[in-house]
Amino acid sequence: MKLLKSGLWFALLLTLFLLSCGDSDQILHSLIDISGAPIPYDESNPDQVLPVASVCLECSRDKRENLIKIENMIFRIMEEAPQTRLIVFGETTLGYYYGLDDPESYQRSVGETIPGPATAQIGSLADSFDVFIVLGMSELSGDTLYNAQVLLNPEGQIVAVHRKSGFVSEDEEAGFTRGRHATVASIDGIRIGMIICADVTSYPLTEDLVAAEIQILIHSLASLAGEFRFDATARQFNSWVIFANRYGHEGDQYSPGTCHISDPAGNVVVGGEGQERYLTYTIGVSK
Amino acid sequence: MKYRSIRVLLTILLLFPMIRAELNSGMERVSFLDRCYAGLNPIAIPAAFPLRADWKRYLPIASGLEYGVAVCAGYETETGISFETRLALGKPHKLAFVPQLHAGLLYYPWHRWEFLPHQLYCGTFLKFWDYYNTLSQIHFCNLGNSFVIGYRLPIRSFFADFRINQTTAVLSWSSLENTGIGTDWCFSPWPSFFPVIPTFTLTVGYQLKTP
Repeated sequence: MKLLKSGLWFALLLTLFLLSCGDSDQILHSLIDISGAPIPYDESNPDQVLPVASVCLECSRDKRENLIKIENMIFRIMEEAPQTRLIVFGETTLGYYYGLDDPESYQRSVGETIPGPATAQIGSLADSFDVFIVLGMSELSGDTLYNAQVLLNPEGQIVAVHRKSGFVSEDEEAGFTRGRHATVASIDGIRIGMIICADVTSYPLTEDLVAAEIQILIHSLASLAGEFRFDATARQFNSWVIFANRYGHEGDQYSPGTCHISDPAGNVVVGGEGQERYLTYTIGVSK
Repeated sequence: MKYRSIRVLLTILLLFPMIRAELNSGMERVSFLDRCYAGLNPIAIPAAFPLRADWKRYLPIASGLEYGVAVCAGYETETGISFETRLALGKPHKLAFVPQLHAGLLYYPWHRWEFLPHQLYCGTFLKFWDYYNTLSQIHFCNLGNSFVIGYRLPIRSFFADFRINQTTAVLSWSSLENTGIGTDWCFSPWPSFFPVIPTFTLTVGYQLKTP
């Protein structure tokens, strides 16, 4: 009888355990993902280095103004940190992301084809400064609208385009269509993964990028969150993370402009918030 | 003289329940098993379910950051001290598996004084948890301490235990290459959201000795 009772208890616990192992493909970070002490990461003997800049831009409603701001920021970075090899901008930097009355028509109005005038304009700067540039923008492909991120090489050519698949309500309201694939590219032989904001919640995308053994994750965002003690995304993808965001008010939403670069253990090696800015760091990657 | 007598009488009346409890405790003899208890954290089970983003983010505060099956076992001594261990096995989401083992000591300061809240306790725990990334197969191990205050409500042989936990310091290490050991004060996993974030634990359980 006692054995039967114990067996029943064991069966009950096993059932609860199996029930609780949810198989949802959505990874929603909670407090346990950011619990613990920062773990020191030794990057003193890297196999390769990549000087990068992460930009936090205060976007305007007006696309032309934003393109001028982007150009000015590139000029500024290349003047103050000329060794920079990669510049990363945030999500949908050609316009607003929040606080829109008619988000779909607005995103269509600022959206462009890829390649298009904006990629040509920024690509010419990439060519002039011999630098890789990542730009978040609304992409028009026929009638379809994507929340996209484009990687331009130092010749000004388009190397990769990533389309966002992990949506939040703003993406749904703007009428964006989901992308389908993980995007992996190479910069000077370093394996790069590309994601946009809530793509971080996608298990299949994480699976693909971890399998591709990316060394650096480019994470463009329009995030309203403040700073974290460490970056759980780095631990999720087992890679360096370049976290490029936006700053300021858009409608009734305010982004504190959290922006950082973190090592694979999640330590924020350079970061900050509270202003439009750029951050630079020389990332040392191991093979 | 009259007032002195009243004061003595009042003192005796006040102390009587304590004296009676002390006398009774000497007569009480219970076996080892009768002092053991076991329980389950019912909030930890839904904390591991796929939920809406806000629920997923904040429910763990109510589950004591335990996910999945979270069980506990303990032993109560005659002196108002309990030893407790907790084991939690669960996945906060598909990517991570987080086994946890806690061991702690609880003290019931008023355990013999029935006219006081004698089921109220305080204590401390040593917690180990391993945040295991199932895709990269990297472990992020943590050893932390926490202070707790709680109340155990006995209902016949069962009990419901409400507890507030506050972590104060953590030591962490990882199987990731090129990493060392990190230590930090940790009153909140998310200080920019709130500098001190205590968590809550509800345990429902069974104890052989009926109080």
